[in-house]
Amino acid sequence: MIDALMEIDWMTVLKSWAPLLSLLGGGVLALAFAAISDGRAWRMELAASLAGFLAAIVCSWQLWPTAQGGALATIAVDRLSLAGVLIVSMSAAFAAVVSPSYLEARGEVRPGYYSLISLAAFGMAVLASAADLVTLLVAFESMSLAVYALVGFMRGRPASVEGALKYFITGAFAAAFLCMGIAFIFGSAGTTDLGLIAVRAAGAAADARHVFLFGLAMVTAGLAFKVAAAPFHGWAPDAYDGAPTPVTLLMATGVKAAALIAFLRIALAIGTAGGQLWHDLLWALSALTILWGNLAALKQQNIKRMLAYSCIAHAGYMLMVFPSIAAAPVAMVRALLLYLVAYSLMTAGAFAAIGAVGLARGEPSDLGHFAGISRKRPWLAAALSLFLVSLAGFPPTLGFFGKYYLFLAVVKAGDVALAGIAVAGSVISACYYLRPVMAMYFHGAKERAVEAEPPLTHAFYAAVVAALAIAALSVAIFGVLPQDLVAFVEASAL
Amino acid sequence: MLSAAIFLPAAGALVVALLPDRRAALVRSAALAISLATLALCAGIFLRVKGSGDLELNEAAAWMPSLGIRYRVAVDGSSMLLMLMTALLSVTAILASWREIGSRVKLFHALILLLECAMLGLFAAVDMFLFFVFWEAVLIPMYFIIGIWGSGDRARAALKFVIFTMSGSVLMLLAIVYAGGAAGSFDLVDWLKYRFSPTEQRWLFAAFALAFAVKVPVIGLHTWLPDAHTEAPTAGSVLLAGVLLKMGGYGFYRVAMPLFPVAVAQYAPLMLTLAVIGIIAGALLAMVQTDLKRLIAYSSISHMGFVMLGLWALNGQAAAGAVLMMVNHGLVTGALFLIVGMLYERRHTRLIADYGGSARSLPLIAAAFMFMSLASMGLPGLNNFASEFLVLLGAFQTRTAYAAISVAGVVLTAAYLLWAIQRVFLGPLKNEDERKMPDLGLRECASLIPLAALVFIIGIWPQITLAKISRPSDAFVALSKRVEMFVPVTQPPTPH
Repeated sequence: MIDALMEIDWMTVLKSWAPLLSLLGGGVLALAFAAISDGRAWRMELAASLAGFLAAIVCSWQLWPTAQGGALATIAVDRLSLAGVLIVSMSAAFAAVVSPSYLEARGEVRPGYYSLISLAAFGMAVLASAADLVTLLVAFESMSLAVYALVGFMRGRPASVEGALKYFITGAFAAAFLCMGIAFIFGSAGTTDLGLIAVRAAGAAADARHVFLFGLAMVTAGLAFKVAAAPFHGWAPDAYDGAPTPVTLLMATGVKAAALIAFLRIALAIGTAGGQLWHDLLWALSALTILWGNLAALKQQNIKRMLAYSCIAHAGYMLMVFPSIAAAPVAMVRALLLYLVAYSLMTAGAFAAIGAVGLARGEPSDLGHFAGISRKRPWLAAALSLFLVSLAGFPPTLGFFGKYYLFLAVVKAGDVALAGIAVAGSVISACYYLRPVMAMYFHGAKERAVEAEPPLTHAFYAAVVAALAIAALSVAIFGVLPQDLVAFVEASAL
Repeated sequence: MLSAAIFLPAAGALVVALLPDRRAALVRSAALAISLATLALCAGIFLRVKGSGDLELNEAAAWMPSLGIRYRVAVDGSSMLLMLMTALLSVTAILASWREIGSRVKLFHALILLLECAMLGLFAAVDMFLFFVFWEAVLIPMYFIIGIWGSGDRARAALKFVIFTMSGSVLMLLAIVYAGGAAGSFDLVDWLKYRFSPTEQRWLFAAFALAFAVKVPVIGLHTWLPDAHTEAPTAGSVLLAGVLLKMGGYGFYRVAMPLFPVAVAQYAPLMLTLAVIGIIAGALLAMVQTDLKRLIAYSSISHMGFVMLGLWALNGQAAAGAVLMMVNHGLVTGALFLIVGMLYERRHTRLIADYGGSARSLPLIAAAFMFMSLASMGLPGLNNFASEFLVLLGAFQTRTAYAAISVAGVVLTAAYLLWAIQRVFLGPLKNEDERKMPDLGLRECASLIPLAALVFIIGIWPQITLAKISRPSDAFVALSKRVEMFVPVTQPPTPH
């Protein structure tokens, strides 16, 4: 035992895991600050969290060019995982930065918030790097537990508690599905190592093959819960609406990205071992998610619920890469990564803007509250419009380019029908994405809404402005000049 | 040079956005100056275009090399003429909004300039990805222009406009993605050399054609048009009718038909039938309108039917006539919307029934309206005559039956326009207040006179435009007819 420990090159481990360890370190330090029962300790907590995110981003960025691939003790240390860590760290940092003004305006500043974000981000990063199903399960759970607590963070708001409870109960089911699926896969393939599963499964007896497929379906269902893919999406609108908006942001971007990358790893490992049934299942999952998300979003009057369904629809677009992944793995990974970056930027921007619209107590997320804000807050309205237009996929925004790149990959792989469904979904989506824009620009403000407008002198509001500006500029500039982003994702999927 | 003309308005939009919102006059003047500079630039380029039938003035730059996407623009005589018209109508639109747009002046002019950039870019784009970006980039500014400054049920009209156009254009996106993947490049010139199989051609053409047909609009897909044109502010109507519809016609001319000759041969009867129905039905619908703006909107459907007839006749003369018709319709209908806008500014009504005998009180406006109506009817000596004549002349040679029915459209056009003139401008004066209203002012004259002058010049001397568009039109016809290139002539197997 001691010999085994001595043989490990600890420096290599430290270096390879530096991004993950930074997140964990930031989280633990933040937790320590949270334990100080001083009213202003939350600032230290926030600083510790942000330092962790920053360190993780810098480390991943440094490691990325030289990453060799492979796995180190069930944690993959390839460029894909580093790209995943980058996405989740940025999303968590974004959520943390827009939180102070949001929480303070609602009188919900309490210790623990930022350490929970850090720990959730750690779970996400490990989930995105898991090279073994057991590690994946543990990461999945540690991410989820932190997020459940965050959803219910606004104790004074019944919707927040309700959302947390719904999310927790369905999430528990999801974890159970995942756990059972892993057990079945282990039972049939004799391993949980993603590098070996495909070979073992191919060599297994015909009886074991059914067990294997059943396990695969269970794992898919478990992850589909977290991705909020139809028909496993029922919790999402309630949880998204009930959660504090920055947490919604984190759930919509980081959690989804981590779960999708984990799923991507599984799908890459399985390859063709899943057979036609697995292909058809994924195809149906994607098509159903696209249509359900977009159609249900049409009816929403609450902008957070509307965006929740929009996130479901976008999960459907991203799931499009899975049916053809065995045929063209590299192209599909690239398309998914690029779309994840695009989707994260515009969704994070949209939720941050919504959080900034109602910097008052309660959650003014009804569409009526957005009437006429283009006159009072023209830049905020312009930013939110940009994100919504980008989500709808209009050029020259990043949302359009992401869709273009994704559709190109899917059509090249020969799945024109699925791309056709996605295209139909895009048209439907324009109907609802333009509704808040209409409210902001075409309608006059209601008197009541004007009264509720708080003064914008909050000290931390500058951070929100900066975050929104970064997201908006990224969406606009990468939309016109996506070459660097393309080069990044192309090098991330080798 | 070409890129400078395309992006000058976008840079101008940025400048306008940075001006203080309160200085409305400054914003208007700046926007006008930028659009005038763009017009001058376009006119300069137009003089340099030889009209050789090839793409001229090529400009290319690396954009996304790993995806086979380049920034590439070039023009032939036809597209340059359309660009020139676009630049002119943008100036007109800004002049028309001088007093009509009183709120959020800065936003309005920034949007108009962005719209101009996208419209100019579309007519010059050779890379199909770039083409699509410009195609969609037109939507958002126009959506806001209709939605914010429109009248009546503007939000609904704006949404309808976006959804209709988008339904078509996402299919075009799918087609572009597919064709780009197959051909390994997004350059239109490469696509023209690539041998798409007949099945591919059928599907790709259908996707492209649907996008373009919504914009033209082909009858059946036209229902967004009356709403959008009617509810839009004057500048929006002028640009919608003047330029946006031409994007559809141009799409057929530049992309859908030359790329897919096999599909052209197969779809020709359908498209010609729709064109003829459009001509007749559009005119009949125009006749029963009670709203002056709607009447002109429906007349556009009828006129664009002639454009489609000219393109689908696959004859050099008809195609040149169709291109010229797009320009002429832009000038004439733009002017008609402008005049209706002037009437509306004075009377605050567009209902024909509210008017009567206005020639007595507003003689100059009446004269301008009659002049433009006569041009629209195709009076010899005015611009539309030349194009309508060419379309019919060409179409009679290749598609006699369709051309023969279409002639009825000419008669119907005269009928609805003359009847409208009679009800609005002739007879006893209905509203005595009109006598106190000012007739054409200096600014209004400035916006109308260039259009009227061009109507006249092209009418008596169409050669100045035809010299640039006849060879490109011949090239278009030659490309659209090369069916043999794709369907090999099957030799009966020789027994041995």
